[in-house]
Amino acid sequence: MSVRAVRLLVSVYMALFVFLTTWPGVGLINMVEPLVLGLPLNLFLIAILIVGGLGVLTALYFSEKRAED
Amino acid sequence: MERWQIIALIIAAYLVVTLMIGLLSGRRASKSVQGYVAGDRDFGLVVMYFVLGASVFSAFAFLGGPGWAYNRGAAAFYILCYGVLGIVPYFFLGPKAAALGRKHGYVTQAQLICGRFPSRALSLMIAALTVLAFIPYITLQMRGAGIVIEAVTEGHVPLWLGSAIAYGIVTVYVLFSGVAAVGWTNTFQGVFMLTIAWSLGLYLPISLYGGVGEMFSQILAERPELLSMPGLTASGEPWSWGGYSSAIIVSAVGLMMWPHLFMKAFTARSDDTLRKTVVLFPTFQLFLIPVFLIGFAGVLYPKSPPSADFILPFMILNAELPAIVVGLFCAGALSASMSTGDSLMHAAASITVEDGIRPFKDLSDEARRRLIQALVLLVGAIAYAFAVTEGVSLVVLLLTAYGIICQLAPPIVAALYWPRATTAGVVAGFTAGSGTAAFFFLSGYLGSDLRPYDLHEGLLGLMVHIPVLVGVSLLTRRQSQEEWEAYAATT
Repeated sequence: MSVRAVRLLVSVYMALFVFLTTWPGVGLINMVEPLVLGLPLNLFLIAILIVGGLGVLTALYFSEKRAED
Repeated sequence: MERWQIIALIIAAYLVVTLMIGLLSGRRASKSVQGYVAGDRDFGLVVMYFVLGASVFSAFAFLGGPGWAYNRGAAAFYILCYGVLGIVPYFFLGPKAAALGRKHGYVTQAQLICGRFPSRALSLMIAALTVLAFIPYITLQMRGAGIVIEAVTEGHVPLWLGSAIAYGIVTVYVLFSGVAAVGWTNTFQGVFMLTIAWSLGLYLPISLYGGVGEMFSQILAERPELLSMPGLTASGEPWSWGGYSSAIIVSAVGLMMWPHLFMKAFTARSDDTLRKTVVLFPTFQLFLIPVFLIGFAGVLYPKSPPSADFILPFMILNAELPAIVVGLFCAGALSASMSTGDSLMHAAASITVEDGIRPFKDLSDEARRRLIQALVLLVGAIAYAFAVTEGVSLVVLLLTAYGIICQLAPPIVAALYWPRATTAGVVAGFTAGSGTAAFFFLSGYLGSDLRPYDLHEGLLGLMVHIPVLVGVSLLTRRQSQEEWEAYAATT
């Protein structure tokens, strides 16, 4: 993927992150049951969003590094 | 030997090790302001990672986080959400600021802004407001240290003495070693904090309820309102969506604008180090989850602590663990407080001298370094006075501090990325934004809350700040191409 495509991906992901963690989008993930790995579903989904953030940031890092080299 | 004495001994040993690391780390740094404030721009990845991590694991997150989970439930989830959002812009802003720092010799944010928008008044205003925002933050860390020590020694070492000992040590190593001490002690303390977070966060639910899932099932059966966002307010009423959502936005905007964090861009060895730090930062957000579990474990516990902030030491003491383990856990909690506090004291003093005094009075490098050291003592003394005074509502002040700090974001973005921005626009925007935030804070503080939809005053400030910055910039004469290039061209 090109540098621009990865930057776009990161922007879209972060926009999605804002949407899903603030009103009104947060309503979509705000369920307590079922518990997943012992955690309420809303807390588990926030954790998944953070792991996803880690993923797209890693992609951003390698894409920017490749472009610099 | 009594139980509390064993615990106190372990804490003492921890404090001695921290002090040694702090003092030894400064031996390599140069004696210049650049060495003292920016660590000779030579921090590697591990140190940078823990310096930023320490910001997440402050006393606020470590004592406040479990406290929030304990009495406000899912409201605490907002603390998880803003970190990832807040760090992303730094991936681009950080290396750019670092390049300009190397080119022009900047070591603070105000220098970065005023290098582009020359205004001594702006520099002074930024310095004054950031130090104002820092004092309650440092006070909170000091109280946190005092709370932990008082609780685990069963009151034998009172809050005032505990704070004084822990922060006496912080002051000594910050005075002698500057930011190098902050970096290396944070690395040591970071390891402690992660240990306490994971082991206690998993141990408590398992030992008290038989498992994390079991714990949440029981909370769901008895206190279901705690598990749905936006959770509750401190007084137990349902929190508003406006309050919850704007807390995330303001904290995300403000996160990297905290000078003690932003200034670390000037300490990194290379852009690559900075970027790697950004990428790894979300891992610290995940480490907060076990910290919340500690708070949730207290919800259905038959006894309750004197106040929600005490929940972590309270649960540690009630878990019937061996004294040595309790001592190590408390050292971890102290780490959370001290690793943030040292960074804050160091940054507050550096900013006062570099941005508040230097533009008005020419001082030698040596004199500035001495002055910064004198101010570390002064800032520490003021914060300590507040820390031991009962009845000062710090959390309220801290939330307002975020409202002020996030007003630094538009000037920084304008300085680095918008050639059309002008000095008049930035000064007008910053004044209007901070004024708006202060107005809504004061109105609420004086009893008549005028904030629409319960929005955070910092967000309301930004809503005024950005249009004023853009509008006034467009109405005033643009900076010449040469001025822009002299500032921004780094290659």
